[in-house]
Amino acid sequence: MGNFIFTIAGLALGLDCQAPDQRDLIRELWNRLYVLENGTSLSPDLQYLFKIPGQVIETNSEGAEVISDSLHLSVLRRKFEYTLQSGSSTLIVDVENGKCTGVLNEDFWEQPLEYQREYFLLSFLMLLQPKRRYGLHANVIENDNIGYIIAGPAGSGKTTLTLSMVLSGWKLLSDDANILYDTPQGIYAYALRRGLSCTTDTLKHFPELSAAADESPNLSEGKKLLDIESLIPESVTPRCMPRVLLFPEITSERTSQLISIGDTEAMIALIEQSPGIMTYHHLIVKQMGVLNSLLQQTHSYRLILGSDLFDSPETVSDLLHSAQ
Amino acid sequence: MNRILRWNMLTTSTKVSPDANVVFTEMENGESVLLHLGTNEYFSLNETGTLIWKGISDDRNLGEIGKELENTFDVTEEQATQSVMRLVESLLAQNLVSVKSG
Repeated sequence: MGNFIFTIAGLALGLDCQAPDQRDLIRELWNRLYVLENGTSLSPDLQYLFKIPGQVIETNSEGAEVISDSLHLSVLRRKFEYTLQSGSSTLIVDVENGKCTGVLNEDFWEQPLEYQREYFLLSFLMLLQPKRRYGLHANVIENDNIGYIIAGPAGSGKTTLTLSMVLSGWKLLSDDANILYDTPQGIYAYALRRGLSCTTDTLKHFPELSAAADESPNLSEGKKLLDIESLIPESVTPRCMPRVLLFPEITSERTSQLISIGDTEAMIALIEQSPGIMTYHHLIVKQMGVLNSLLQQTHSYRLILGSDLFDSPETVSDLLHSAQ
Repeated sequence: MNRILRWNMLTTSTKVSPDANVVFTEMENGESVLLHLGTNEYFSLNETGTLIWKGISDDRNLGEIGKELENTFDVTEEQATQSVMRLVESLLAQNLVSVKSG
């Protein structure tokens, strides 16, 4: 069949499928959900191989540790191999060799888009970690070549702030899942997820987007995937160097404010938001080192968000500029 | 002479070792963060705690760590020993370290 090559966070990612139709389906899905560029490479750094649907993939669950087990996804780990099971579809992630082998059956394509996205996202993060690229559960935006990381739990205002700033002229890397890459020049953030996931509650604050939201695909019940790049030209960027770390909190205050915080408090807050599914000790040590390096190149703040975020977002934009 | 403090039999010659599941990250400000991969709990240590943890990781006994604390922070031997013992008791309670036998 032949490999199709993407580039992900500076690495060549190969996609090979034994079923020709399925390769096109997966390509289309990946292009829709992730920030992947077309690439060329004879020997990709990471490789996916999908077998003919219906084929059985042998898995060895003896001695495997259950990492996660929900209705739509279970994750097992055995030595340096993860097994991701979603319905009757299986993906075996060989972390040591940068390879994924899987079978995607019909039930996979019937799942909500959000579950399909999570399935591949997890495998990407697992494969990227040994390549010194670490997942960060945060939104990243950029302005004047300065990257801003927005981290926090659900409901803290990350998406609202992100959408408000993008509508004010800022650029979006990714929401929720970005990659941190430790280079000699510093820590770079790379976009991973494409589009902006918004709940219908968040979208109520942006009536100018209601028409676009209605036409946007459903990720899951009550959540839409906004194609920001199509809505606002030149509103996305694939990578940036983060210089500001923000931990927002939506309040009933009138005016937003920044409160500087120390590295230890910021580190704790980042750990709370870091993907917890990876449990290899030596990789976590490196990941913590990357977070530590990130803190050395950024200023960290608690961002108390007030009603000015909606009434006069340019005020909040100016406030964020002052955080550099 | 070993000095025995409190009922839990920690002495100045006691050695403890970090749990294999604990990841230690030292910050630029001299503080540190401990992450227990088994429980996903995390703890922060101030500068004193960081120095104590590093002494534990270097396989020193509690008396040796107390001595270093004394020299570094200009405190009395009594204060240093109490700081070490208090923290080690907390670390034991959180399963972040265990007492070495022998």
